[in-house]
Amino acid sequence: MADLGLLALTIALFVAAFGIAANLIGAWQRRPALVVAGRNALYVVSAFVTFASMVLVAALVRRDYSLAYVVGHVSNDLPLFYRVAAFWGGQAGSLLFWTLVLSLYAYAATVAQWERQPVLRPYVTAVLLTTQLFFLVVLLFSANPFARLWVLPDGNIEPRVVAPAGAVAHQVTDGSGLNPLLQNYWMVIHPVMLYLGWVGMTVPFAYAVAALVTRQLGNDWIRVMRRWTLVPWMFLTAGILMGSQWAYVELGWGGYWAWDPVENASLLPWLTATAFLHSIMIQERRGMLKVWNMVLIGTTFGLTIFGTFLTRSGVIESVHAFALSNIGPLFLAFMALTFFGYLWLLLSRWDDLRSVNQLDSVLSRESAFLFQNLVFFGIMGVTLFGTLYPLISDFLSRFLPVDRMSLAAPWFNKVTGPLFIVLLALMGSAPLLAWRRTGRAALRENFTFPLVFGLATALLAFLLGVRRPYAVLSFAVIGFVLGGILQEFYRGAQARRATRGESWPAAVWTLLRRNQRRYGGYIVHLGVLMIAVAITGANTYQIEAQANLAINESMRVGNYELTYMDLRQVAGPTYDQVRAVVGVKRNGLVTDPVMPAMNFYRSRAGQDQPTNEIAIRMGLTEDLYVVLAGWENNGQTASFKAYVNPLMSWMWIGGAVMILGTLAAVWPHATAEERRRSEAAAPAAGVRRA
Amino acid sequence: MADALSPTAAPKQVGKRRALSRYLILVLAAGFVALLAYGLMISGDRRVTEGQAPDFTLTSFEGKTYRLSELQGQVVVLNFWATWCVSCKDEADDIERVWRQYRDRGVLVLGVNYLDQEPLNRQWIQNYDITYPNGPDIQGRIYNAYGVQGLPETFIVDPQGQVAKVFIGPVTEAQLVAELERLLRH
Amino acid sequence: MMPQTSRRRAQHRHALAGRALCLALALGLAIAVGSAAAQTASPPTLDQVNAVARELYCPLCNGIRLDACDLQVCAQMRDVIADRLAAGATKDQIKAEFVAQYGPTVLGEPPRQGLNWLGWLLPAGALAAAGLWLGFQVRRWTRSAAPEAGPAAAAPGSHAPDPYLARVEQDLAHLD
Repeated sequence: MADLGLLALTIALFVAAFGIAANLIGAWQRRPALVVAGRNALYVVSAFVTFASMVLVAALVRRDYSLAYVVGHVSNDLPLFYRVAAFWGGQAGSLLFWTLVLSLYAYAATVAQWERQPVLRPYVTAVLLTTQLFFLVVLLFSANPFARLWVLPDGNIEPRVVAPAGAVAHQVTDGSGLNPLLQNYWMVIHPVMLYLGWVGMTVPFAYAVAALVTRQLGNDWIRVMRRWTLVPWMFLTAGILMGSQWAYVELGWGGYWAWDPVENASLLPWLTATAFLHSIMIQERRGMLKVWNMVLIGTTFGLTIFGTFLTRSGVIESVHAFALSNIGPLFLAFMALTFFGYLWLLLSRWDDLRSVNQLDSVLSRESAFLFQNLVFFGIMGVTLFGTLYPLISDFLSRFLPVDRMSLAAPWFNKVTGPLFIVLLALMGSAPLLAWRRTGRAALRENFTFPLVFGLATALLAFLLGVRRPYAVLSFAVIGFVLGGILQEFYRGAQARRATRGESWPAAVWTLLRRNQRRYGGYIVHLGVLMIAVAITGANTYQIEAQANLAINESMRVGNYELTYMDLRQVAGPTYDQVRAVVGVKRNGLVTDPVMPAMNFYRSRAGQDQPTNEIAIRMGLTEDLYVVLAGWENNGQTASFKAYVNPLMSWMWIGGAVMILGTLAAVWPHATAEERRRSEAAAPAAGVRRA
Repeated sequence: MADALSPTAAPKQVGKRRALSRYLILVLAAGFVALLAYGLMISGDRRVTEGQAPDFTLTSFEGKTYRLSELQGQVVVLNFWATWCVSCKDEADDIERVWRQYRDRGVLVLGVNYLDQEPLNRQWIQNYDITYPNGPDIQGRIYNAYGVQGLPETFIVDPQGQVAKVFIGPVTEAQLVAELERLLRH
Repeated sequence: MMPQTSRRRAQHRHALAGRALCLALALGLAIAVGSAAAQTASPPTLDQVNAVARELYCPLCNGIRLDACDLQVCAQMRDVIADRLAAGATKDQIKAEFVAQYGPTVLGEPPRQGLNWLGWLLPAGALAAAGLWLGFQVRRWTRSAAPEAGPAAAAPGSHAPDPYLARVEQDLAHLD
């Protein structure tokens, strides 16, 4: 059965190679039949990859221990849910999962766009197929999920695809199980989101390459690009936040972001994709920045591949990284090919990308976007620098007295913190500035309220006891942006109320529906603000305490008094849980006890790796976060770490708001027809009123 | 990047500036790829398994300084360990026995403590009755120079200063004796 | 019977080099136990130790704060902090000693001395240069465009050229 998966991948490999050739030859010789054949090749590849994925999932679900991957990631006691999730829980499986997601995107993009872009399509298909081909090569020759375990004549057990001479199949009755850290709902879902985000960036990249090759650099493809970037961007946003959520509830250090290389790898393409989503607006309106947008798309795609390379090649050490493997050189080769190929395309089409344009005023939305793009790219650049600093310092230390070292949160926070605040300020300013030029009167009219609102917020924060300059500044900027957004909604709704006599909620709803992009964007900005609130609160005002407690002893953390009451052992499905009962008093009032615990997994992968089951009591103003750190003498004493994280919940609420805003922006609700109808209705309304 | 944002440059300057920005993009991309290639190169197995043994200075807990280049003519057994390393316990007695057996035959055993704390080291040395010199690996310099990848690892340097043998994981008395006999016979 | 945690630690298994090692070790646990060496007259509290440890980083794994790190190495390092605090050392002294002993990775940022400044100046310089360059460009583009931009191009008072919003604003103007 598993051999069918191998066969499917092999066929997909050849079909992909054929498809690339068919598309390119078809395009050069203008033979539509070949282009159609190339497109069908993409469908076939996608189908075979999907089939191979189903074979692997079936093997995991059925616990087919003849496969090395199944042995390594599943055990007899692993529940069905996690057996399916084991698909993307390991190196080879996650690469197949990546290929599967790529195939689904490729299929969707081809079906959706086939009729619209006749000139671009052979190249778009060829690029998608090339990326598929690369992953198929990796799967078949470097990280094959269908490899079996063999006992070699010298007694060593090795995973091989083809049976080595004289080897016997290795018989296994129980697998080593899934890494216990991965047995968490967030951990199951967040890689899926990240892959949907990373892999989706291949589609805009394919369009960019096709546009460059064909020199079809007009503005027609921009709308396509925007939508195909916005969807993966949304998934990437969700994936990053869910990853932080996982770190927060599972790792037990009271934080959500450690600037770990793997975390950074998910942030880097997000930054350039966000920059792109903004700068493409300038191109849409003013025809400017064509080269820059191309650079951003290429960089975003490059960074997604870089992220995979980083997590799988062992170049940089990370807590989250996969086990060492030899796929590094393959990825590097692919990256180099993509980079230089794309650069060559870009440089050779430079003159076609030129456009006549200029800025009318420094005080314009365009220039705010330019600086905002620079800051986004700058944050990406410094984060990349910091992530690669172990390599950079290692290299420099060969000739210069530089210490080899890796960088952690202190450096990243110091360097990116100010940039993020500038970014927030720009995020608030840009929508208040008009395209082309903002007159003095408009400037005063648009900025007065937000600035006052920002100052008031800072003052309020100060009165509530926020004293650190950084936090006060951050709240001032957040207030400024919030004021701007409120003003926009107020003005729009007020206008509708005045003209149509709609109620407030109805007016806001119509605004949203009539101009999804604009108001959806504001909602996304609101979500960003909530996250900024959470980061400001948790980073500057976290309270931490640790104590060894005997039964009935108490410790204090912030306004809480925690009393160690009991320690008991409970049997879970795949683990034994040691659970402490801790009484909680907040400001002297007794509330429900919390139960931090530790899970001891029974499977082999779980040995020596108990996981923290942190007790978190979430609240809108603060989270209480209690970790059971250890115990002695059968629980007569136990050690607890407790944190109070102010405003932390706003990070997850803000994430949800961002997703909703994005959905509002892309939801195909106000159809073209509806819009036309509303356009037609508007003048009539004007006449009526007049 | 220059032109990326400024497609409206005055025509006479275009040529020069474009060339500059093109080179800048290329240099950045090439530098990035080269850096990653460098990373791949050094991330693999860089354990020193043969050839000249990297020179180092180790100051023992007794305050005596050992410099490898000054120990030529002796066989040096370099044992990397730490008190937080569980399997280091398995080899502690074996290494001590070998040391006592060979200390007068031109063999020097040096214990190199990686990321460790002196009070704990002293306690451990007392527990296992270790008599060969041990010292802290300041900032992990020796560890890095030898490309050690985990603890314990044991390097044997021959009298000419060449790495003769590397043991990965806990080493046994028999393994050490076999290697030392081979080297001393020459 | 409950599993005994206090001395149950992940093995430093050789097969697990590098990051895999970290993962395995990071999950071993360490209850904060006073080391034999830390038995002084007035041992500092765990909170006092953590106050120093939270400004240091585990040198064996990327980015894990010393107060939050479950490795045995980290537990030992916290014990050292306790010892030094008991001996009257200040936070800065302890940090300096850690850098000397384990290298600057424990700080999580390049020490601000000598050529390690490069770790700060390279990104800061690049950012400053890019910012200046863009500012200069924007000024140039504005100047080159100034003569062409007729009054029609400017939309004073309008914060939105979308047809819909423009309409909304017209409506507003009517009301005024």
